[in-house]
Amino acid sequence: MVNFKIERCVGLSDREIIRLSLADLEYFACLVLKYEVRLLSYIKKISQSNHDEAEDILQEAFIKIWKNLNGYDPRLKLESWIFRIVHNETISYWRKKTSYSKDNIVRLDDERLHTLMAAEDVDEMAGESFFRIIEEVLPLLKQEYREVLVLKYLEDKSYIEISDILKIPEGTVATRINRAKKSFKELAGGKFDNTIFK
Amino acid sequence: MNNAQKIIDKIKGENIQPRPEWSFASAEYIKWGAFMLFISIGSISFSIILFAISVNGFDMLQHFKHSKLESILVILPILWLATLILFLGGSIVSIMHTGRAYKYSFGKWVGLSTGISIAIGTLFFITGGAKWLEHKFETNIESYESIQEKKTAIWSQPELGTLSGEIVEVAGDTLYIKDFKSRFWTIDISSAFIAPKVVMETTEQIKLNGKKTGDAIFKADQIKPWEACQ
Repeated sequence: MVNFKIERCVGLSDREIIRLSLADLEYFACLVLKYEVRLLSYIKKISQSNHDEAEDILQEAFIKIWKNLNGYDPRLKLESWIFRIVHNETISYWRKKTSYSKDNIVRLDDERLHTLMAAEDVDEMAGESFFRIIEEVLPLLKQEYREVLVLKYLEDKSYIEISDILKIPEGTVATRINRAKKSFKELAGGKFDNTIFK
Repeated sequence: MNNAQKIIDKIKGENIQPRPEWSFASAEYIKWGAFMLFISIGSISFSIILFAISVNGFDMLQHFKHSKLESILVILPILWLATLILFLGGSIVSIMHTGRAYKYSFGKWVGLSTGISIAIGTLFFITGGAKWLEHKFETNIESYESIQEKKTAIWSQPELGTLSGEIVEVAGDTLYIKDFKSRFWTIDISSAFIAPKVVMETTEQIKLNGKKTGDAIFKADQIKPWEACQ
C-alpha cells in the first residue's frame, strides 16, 4: 500500500479493478476509494450509525467483498452487488448491537433529500420543516420501508438496482416503496401539524 | 490512515484469501442439483398418488359415511402425499437459494415447482412408471402397504357400505361372492346399478357399494369391475 499510487486506479472499469485486485491486492484499494464515501453515507442513513461505527461496518463489508470477489455475478452491476453486501453487513451489525432506537435521529445532509419532495405522494413542504420531518420520521419507519426510501430517493437507485441490492422481486420493490411513502406520510402527518401538507 | 489502507492492511495482516471461484460455482450447482432431485422425487410421489386415485377412485367418496376430508385421506396414500409435500418444499427452498431466484416472487417459485412436479408426475403415471415403481416397493419392502392392499382394505368394509370379491354364482337377482378374506356373501342385486363393463360370470372380480343387511348378506346399490379404472 505504501508504494501504491492512487493514480493507477484512474480510468479502470469495475471489472478491471476486480481482475487486477485478484492478481494484486493493492488494486482492491481502488474499489474502496471509488465507493467508500457513498457507502458510508448509505450506512448512516439506514442505520443511525455514527461515523466511527459506519467505518467499522464499511471495513467489515469490504473484507466480505474481498472474500467473495470470485463470486461476483457479472449479470448485475458491481455497484449493486457492493451495496447488497454493505446493506447486509449494516443490518447484521445493528441487529447484533441493538434493536433500532426510535429516539435516535438520522442526520441527513444529502442534497438528494429534495428528491423525496418530488415523490408524488409527498406533497411539497416548507424547506426547513421538511428536513426536520425527514430527520425525525425516517427512523420511525419500519426498516424495510426506510431502506427502500433511502435507496430510491436518496441513492437514486432504479427498481432493478434495488431489487438486486435487497434481493427481492421488482414488483415487491414497487409495492414496498408505495407502502413506505404512505407510512412516511402518515407518520409525518400524525407527528406534525397537518397544515405542513398541502 | 485512510479506510482503503486499513482494509488492505487487515487483509494482508490476517492473510484473508478470496474464496475460490469453483466453490461458488459448486454451491450453485449443488442447489440446482438439489432442486432437480427434489422435483424428481416430488414428481414420482405425485404420479403414485395419481395411480392410487386411479386404482381406488374418488367415486366411492359419496358412499363413505365419514367426512369428505377423512375419506380423501383414506383413499390417498399418505406416505406419498407426505413425500410430495416434503420434496416440493425442498425444491422450493433449494431453488430460492440460487443466485438470481430473488427476481421472482415466492408464489411464482411455488407455482413453477408444483407445475413441473405435476407435469412430470402425470407423464410418469401415463407411461406406467408409477404402477411399475409401486409394484417394486410392494415386492421389495415388506412393511410397505401397497395401493392394491389399501384398495382391498377400503373395499372390504361392509359396515361402511363397501364389499369386493370374486363372483361364485349368479342366480337371478341374487349374487354369491367370495370376498378377499375368503368369506362367502349373498348379494341382493335387484335394485343395483351394474356397470356396463362388469361381466356377471363366475371368477369375475367385482367391487360393490351398498348396505350390509344381515350376517353375510349385502344389498348392492352399484356393482363395478374390480380393475375398472386401471
